[in-house]
Amino acid sequence: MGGLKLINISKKIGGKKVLDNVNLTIPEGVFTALLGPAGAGKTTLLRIIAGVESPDSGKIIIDNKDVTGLPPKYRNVAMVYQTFALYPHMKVFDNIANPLKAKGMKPDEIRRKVMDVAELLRIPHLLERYPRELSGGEMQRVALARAIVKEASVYLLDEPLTNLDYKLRERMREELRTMSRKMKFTIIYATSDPIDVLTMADQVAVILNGKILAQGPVQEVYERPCCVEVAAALSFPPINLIDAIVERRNGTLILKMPFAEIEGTRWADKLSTERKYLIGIRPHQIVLLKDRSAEYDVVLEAKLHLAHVIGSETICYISINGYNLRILLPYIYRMTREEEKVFIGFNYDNLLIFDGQTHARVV
Amino acid sequence: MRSKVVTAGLILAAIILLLWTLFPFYWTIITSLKHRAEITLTPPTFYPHTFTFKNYIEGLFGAFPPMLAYFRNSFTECFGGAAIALLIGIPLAYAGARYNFKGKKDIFFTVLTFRFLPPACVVIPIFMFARVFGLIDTQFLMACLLAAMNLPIVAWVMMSYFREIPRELEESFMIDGYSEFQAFLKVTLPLSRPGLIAVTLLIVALSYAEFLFSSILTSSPAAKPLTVGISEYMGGEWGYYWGRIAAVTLVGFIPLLIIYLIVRKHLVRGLTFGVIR
Repeated sequence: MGGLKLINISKKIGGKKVLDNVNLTIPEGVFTALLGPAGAGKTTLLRIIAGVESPDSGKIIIDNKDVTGLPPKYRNVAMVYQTFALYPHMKVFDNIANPLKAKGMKPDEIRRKVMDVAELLRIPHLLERYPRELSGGEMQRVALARAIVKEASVYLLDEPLTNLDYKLRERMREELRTMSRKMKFTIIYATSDPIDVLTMADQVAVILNGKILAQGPVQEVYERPCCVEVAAALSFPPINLIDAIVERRNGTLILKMPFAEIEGTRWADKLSTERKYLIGIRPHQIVLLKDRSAEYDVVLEAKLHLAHVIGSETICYISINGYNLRILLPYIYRMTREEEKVFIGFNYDNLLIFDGQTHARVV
Repeated sequence: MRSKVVTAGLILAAIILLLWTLFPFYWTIITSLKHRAEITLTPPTFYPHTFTFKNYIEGLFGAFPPMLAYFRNSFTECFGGAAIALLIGIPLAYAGARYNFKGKKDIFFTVLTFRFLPPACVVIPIFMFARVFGLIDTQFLMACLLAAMNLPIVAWVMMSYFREIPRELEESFMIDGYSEFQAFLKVTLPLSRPGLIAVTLLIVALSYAEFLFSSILTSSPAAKPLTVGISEYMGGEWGYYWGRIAAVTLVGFIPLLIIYLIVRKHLVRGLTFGVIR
């Protein structure tokens, strides 16, 4: 069993801890997203795996071989940079052929392999051009081609879609997903965009301030995030986070939020009146209602301020007693007045309750 | 819109500046074509009344001073010096651009001070050192000195140039399966070509015009460069040969002109520190 294993990787740059005891296992053929905001340590981690940066401590194991001290050329990894890093003085063909030339392959074999990859990415017509003659999307494909042609053990993708426009990004997501499934690539895909993770990855590792906060199958991490930060990182639109305290009244447990109180007896064994909590609810799990329907566990009256229609979805900004929440509707909703009176509803099952101090999930 | 008066004034200023710059050049040309007697006429003639190529033939091919040997020395010393400066300066610049190491600032400051010192301060100590090692009047010594003088230019210009080249390109090349040295040779150097050409031209031109060190440290056709060689036509037993001085100066200018014309494109791009995009 090959794949990649990182053991206790730490790295300081200029006195600042960029990576803090990172442990990560990526089985062969698995598409892993490394999710974190800018400056979380994603790029440094990829550079360490590639061998262009060395860790202060820890081990890197690729295909069951310890490669920690080895230079990049002995690691059989491929990397796609956010800026694509195409060699400006070489034609597209030579850019793609470069890793093969390094292996000392024969010219006709190189030509055959480059052509195969070019066909796969639909760029044979670009081979005789220079990078400066390409569009962003074309450069992206060339950069991918150069990685794919190498037949590497691990592919490192550093926010490769960031510099592309929206439409192209959508299409590349689909293609990357299909290709990685078909070819069984072992991929680490660094990104700050939860959509990338939810649409493409098999598993996700959430990184923040150089620490891996959570790691596991995407659906699992999404549904049962270990802490506020993971829930927030893996949510689009951003998750609603609401301060809350717990009160006990006549034997029933009350979860007190700034705008409402809900009954919380069902969580009695997990919540304490001593502590503060953060309640997380994802925008798509709140529904907009016409009246006080009884279908939902909690129904509240609210004011609708703004409805952004995004294609076939709508992001609504509502307030309840001055407290703002975001809702994502899976349909088009247009406001009729400047401020509308609406009802919202959600279910207890959809609430994520985090400890206010430690940020760990309790429910 | 600029008024016509201002435009006319600017054009006039440009013409005056042009005359100011080109007149000495014109004077050198006509002097090289005049007979010796006409050159010293009072009042001077503003175009050659007598026309001759004798100055060129005697100036260049006369048995003494051996101008062709001086030409050869100039070339060897300039290009040799440039080669040494580039050979040391480029790795130095690369290290400065890519790595942080202890004493980096000190090293670069020291290199820069090579250029701060007035040459007259160091020429005597160098003379004494060179004599001990038997290097007086050798092309090798002159090449080394020119290299030392030009090293700061190479190091500082190339360092800024290398910094402009994204590190990611080198890294990507290494990940493709090459060593860092190969990445430097095949990515960084080709991409710095405009800078390399500009800096080479600059230091060759500066070396070509060097006079002080050569006048003290060389004494024979074995190492004496053109700048010092031409001065042998001044004074001495036979008086001043202005015609020959002008002729040799003009011929000596031709190589620079050719280099300049060939690399003009690179010079402009190079000295503006053109970014690669």
